[in-house]
Amino acid sequence: MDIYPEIERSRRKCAYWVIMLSRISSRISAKIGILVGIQIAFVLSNIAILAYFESQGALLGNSVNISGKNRFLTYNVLVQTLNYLSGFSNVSSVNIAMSKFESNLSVLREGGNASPTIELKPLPAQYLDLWKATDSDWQKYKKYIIDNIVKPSQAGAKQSHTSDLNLITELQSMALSLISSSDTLVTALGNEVKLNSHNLTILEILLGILNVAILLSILYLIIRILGPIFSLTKATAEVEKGNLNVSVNRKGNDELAKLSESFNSMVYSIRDHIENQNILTGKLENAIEELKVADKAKDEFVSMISHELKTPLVPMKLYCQMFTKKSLGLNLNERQSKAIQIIDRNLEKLEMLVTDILDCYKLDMGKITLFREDANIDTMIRNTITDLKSIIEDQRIFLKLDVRTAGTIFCDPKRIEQVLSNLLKNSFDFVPKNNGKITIRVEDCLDNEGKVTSQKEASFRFVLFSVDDNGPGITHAQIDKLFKKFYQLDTSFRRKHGGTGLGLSICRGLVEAHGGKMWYDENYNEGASFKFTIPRYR
Amino acid sequence: MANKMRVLIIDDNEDVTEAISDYLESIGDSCTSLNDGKQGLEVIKKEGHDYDAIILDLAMPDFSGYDVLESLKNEMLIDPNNIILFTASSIPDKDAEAIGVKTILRKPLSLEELEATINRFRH
Repeated sequence: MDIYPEIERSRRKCAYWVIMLSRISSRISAKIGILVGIQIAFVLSNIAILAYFESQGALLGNSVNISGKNRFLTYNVLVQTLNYLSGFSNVSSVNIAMSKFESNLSVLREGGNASPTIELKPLPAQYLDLWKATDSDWQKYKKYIIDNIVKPSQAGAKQSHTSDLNLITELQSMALSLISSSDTLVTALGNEVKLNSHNLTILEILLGILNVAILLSILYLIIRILGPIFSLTKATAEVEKGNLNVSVNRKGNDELAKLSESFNSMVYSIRDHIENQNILTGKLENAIEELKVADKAKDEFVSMISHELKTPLVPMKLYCQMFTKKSLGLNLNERQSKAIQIIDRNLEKLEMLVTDILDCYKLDMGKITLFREDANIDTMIRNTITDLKSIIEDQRIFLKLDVRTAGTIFCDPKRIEQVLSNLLKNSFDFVPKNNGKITIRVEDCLDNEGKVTSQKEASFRFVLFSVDDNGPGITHAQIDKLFKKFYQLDTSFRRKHGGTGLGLSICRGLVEAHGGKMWYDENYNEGASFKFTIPRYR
Repeated sequence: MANKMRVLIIDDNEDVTEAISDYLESIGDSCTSLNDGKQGLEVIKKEGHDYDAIILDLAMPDFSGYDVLESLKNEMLIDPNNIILFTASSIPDKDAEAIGVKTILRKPLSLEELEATINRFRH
């Protein structure tokens, strides 16, 4: 808030103009518009100025023309006078000649239409004296004629010959001085015309130069526009080739300058982006390398662990068996035999434990290797049962086979047999003594969830295995933990039967490694029912 | 009882070679033990055909069973029919097929397994 409102007002005006100027300087179209406007205005005013001067010159020329007529009209009066004196014409022709001169002289001063085609402007003030001189000579001439010729003729007197000669001489000298003063006027007017046209020429030259100057500035502006356009075009071509180390000169603050600036910052940000991409790619490549190294380390570790855990078992087992078979030539007594049996039994448990733990570890690491082949279903079932035949017979278990499909499955048969065997062994532990019933069912199914239909469908992609028994089954509360590691239905069970509680966890892992699913079927009410699917094809 | 067999076992673990050797000799076969891969390779090259069966451990430090097989393959000396691969790992089925070795013994093994496998080479 200013104390002096005038200062505030003028400050605002200044600010306004500064803004306007900066707006104009920032718009190419404004610049071009202004210059073209100036050019047009200039050309138009050129035309106007030159036309004006032309017309003025024409008018002046007319004055020269008319004033030049004085000479002729002066002689005309003299000739008419001489004719009258010679008796060839009337005195009225003298009067007519005189009035012609008079009107010519007056129109020269007043201006106006000397004839339908000749227009005069009034005589410029500086020639009035010369006109007056001409006029006074004319008045003398006119008076002399009127006094000595017109009046006497009106009076009817006749001239004598001797006075004629004096008359004529006097008339001639008056006519000459009139002509001389008229000529002076004519010359002066003529000089004015010359000066005028001289000035006009100079003016035309000046205007021409200014015109060229304006054209040149327009040209300059065009170059200023084309310049950045060429630079941008070149720079864009470079970027297209893949060279991002370009930048465009940014001059001024109009749209092209802004475009150049935008271009530069765009190229910069593309460069930046590409650099970031490269850095990211580099990091990704490093990460991939590290993962590969870690994975290889995992492989080596798994391999090493397997080897280290299994190796000590080899000689222990062999020697144990050699003791039992008396291969070392020793005859053992009962206690020694029993001792060896205990060692042997525990070695077996240890071996199973090591195998289970290694399987678990490999499944967890995703390092389980499946040796898939087109394995025959019947063969796998038969192999599984054969290994367990003695237990089945000992426990008098009724084993039912319900194989509703045939053919092969693309799988690792040893592992599928392992799963089946595990499920069967679990069932052996829970079915009633001497009355145990276990059913192994194998059928086609549509999907991983075990959906089966009764119609024959062309595209059964999975095989569903079920192991059902008539044991107590699994309660709802226990189902969640069933497949978890180390879970056993009761801890006393473990102490009695051994086992690690890893069996179901490993089974599920093996099934899932094949791309199948394993679950406990709650809908089966007659005991426990474990189901798993295996994709049939590759 | 069939003919006496000559068996060569190459395994870096002395306990293992001793156990197998003890057993084979107890049933009347002869068994030569070697605990080094390079040494094993030399013996196979020189006297491989003298043995009815060669048990070759795969996981040995410095010069593994794989290295032995590779060298034999390069020198075109391999006779896959009397080589038995001996390993704790489950992998070599494919590797064995690649070389043409048909017999694999897995650790830990039982005497029955050992005997059954060896008997296949008995003539």
